[in-house]
Amino acid sequence: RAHSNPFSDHRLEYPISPAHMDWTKLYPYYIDPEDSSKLTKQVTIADIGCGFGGLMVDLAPEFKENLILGMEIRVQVTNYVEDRIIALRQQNLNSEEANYQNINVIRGNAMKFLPNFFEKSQLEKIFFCFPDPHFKQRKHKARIVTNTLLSEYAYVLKEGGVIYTITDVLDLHEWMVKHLDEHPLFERLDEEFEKTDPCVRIMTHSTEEGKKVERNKGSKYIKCYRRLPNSAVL
Amino acid sequence: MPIKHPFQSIITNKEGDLLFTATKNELQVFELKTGERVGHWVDVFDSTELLREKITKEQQRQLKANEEKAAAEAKAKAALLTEEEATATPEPTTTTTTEEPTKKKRKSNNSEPKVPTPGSGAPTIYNYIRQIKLSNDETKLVVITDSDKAAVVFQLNYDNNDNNVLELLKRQPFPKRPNAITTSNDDTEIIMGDKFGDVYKFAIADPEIKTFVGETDPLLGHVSMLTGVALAKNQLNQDVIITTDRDEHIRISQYPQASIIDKFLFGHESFISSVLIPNFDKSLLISGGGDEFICLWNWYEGKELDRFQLGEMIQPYLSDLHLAPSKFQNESGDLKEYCVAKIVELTQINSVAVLIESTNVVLVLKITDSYKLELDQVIQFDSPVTDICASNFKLIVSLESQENLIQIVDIENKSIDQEQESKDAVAKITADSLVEVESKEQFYPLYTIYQLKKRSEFS
Repeated sequence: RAHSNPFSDHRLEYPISPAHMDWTKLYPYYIDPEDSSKLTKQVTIADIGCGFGGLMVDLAPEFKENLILGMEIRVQVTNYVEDRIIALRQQNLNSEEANYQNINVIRGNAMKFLPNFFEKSQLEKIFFCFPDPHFKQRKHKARIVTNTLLSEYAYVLKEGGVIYTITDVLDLHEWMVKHLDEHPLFERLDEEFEKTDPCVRIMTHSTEEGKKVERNKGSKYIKCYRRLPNSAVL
Repeated sequence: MPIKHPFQSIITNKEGDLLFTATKNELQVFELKTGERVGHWVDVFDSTELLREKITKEQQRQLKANEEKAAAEAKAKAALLTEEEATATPEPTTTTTTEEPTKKKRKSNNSEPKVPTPGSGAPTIYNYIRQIKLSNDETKLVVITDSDKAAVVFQLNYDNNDNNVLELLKRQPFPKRPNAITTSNDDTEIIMGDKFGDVYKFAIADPEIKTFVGETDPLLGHVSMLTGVALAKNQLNQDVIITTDRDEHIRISQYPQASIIDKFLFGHESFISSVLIPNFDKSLLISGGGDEFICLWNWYEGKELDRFQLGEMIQPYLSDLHLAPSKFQNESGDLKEYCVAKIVELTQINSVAVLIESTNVVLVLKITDSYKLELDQVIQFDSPVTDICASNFKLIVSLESQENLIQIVDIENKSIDQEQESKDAVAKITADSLVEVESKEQFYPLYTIYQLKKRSEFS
């Protein structure tokens, strides 16, 4: 199934609160030797709507010290990414470059339950790569970037954290830029950042969608935003 | 013989001398001491009118779109023709084919739009008044209506000659159905949360906003049905807005800078229907809904202090009305489900009164000095309770009963007020209530929140 209605109940599994979340199954390599119910690290990078997981796979060697979580609402796609990560972990057991222990995926509805997974200011980076464009005006509330949802993203992002957006749909790009520009807790990052930031490079070339756009010689629109301190709101 | 329709929703003022009631599409105000009716308003808005307007609009939009399309096509064709003319004389066949689409276009009609009328067996549309709320200074009453999805603001004017305290100030329709309403701490603004999770605010003094969609950005939003909205002041005396939703969230944001989310109170496992910050300790918040427990929080610190389990104590008061629907029933067929419909404070005795939907009882829970919720009393009535409210001295209960539409409970004694004056007032309110129906079957739904339970299958 290519699409999923983010407004329906779906009987999703999600923790009652971030404290209830059991991360040990997702990242067993990082289990705290002193307390096996905990990890030694927290997830700090989230790929919302991670699709087939291409971005995470490429981020894994670049951000070895960070735990990266992909969230995907489609069941089959999530299952595929799970299998892909299991295979990668097995193939790279003793790899110096990347062992893929720091990435994993969960099925979830980030629009409804992101604060159930992450504590306030927990995340350093959030990626929105080639999100569902929801062309019809009636469906715009289903878009992953809206002024009201941005407040939730700002809640889970720490000060100075970055939101990355990329899409091949100009209309959606303009929508995301408009809402991010208008939101008092985000500041647009300049072209210099886009040129030098490793994540922008990875995001542009690594995802399955990105590769498809390249094959079709389509355009890619990118914008990144930094989370401002709350004091920026007057 | 016509029978009295039970009140669906009741509120009182702090002094406890006025009772505001909503029944079907009617508001009635009573003096509690005498039972005198001092206010009445009927929502006469015809929702088919709204539908007709919507259809006309859509028709006009389509007509315009068609015309534009036709004009563009004609232009393109004309350009093509002149091009063809320049190169060669046009074939006679091409001219005949170009005429056909213009003929088709004329078929579009401009007649009066047809409003769909429901056939027999279609579900009834209930246009009731969903919520009523007094402003903090108790000079205004705000209500939300289903008929045109509006917030309606009344000035309470006690000097009116026509014996009606309700003076309509403003009617503000919204694009989506309002579900929760409150006023800002200074009573200058109305804050409304809708069925689709967005919260809007507007100034009472401003003129009505005509075209709402897209032009007024929401103050904040949940991707879930909004079940409650409340304003409060935090420990730093800053305004905050508390919003609750069907997805178990209690969210606290700054106000009016609601883009800054301060915290969530996590712990509920089903929808939230009622939250209360009691006046006797404003650091506390009590919440309930579809869960089998009621939570007590220190919301300044975001900490759960206690959880009162309703489980065993509520069982004797449940009836067949609480049996789970067959699809979700257990094998022995005795699974009962219940929801917390309302929590109100009994300031005098540091307690809260809790209404469990479709029961004949009101629970009084005491908040102890060590911040625990303790069962103090179960007050029983002879009919199911539809709503509760409380003033500083009295608890008022509305009942699904023909004898008395309400009962007044003395908070000190925690029992029905036996004073003759109070009995007379109750009898008069019941007798004077104007909303009557022919039979019980014509009652509007009285117990509605259990439907908020999530029932979807795994997918």
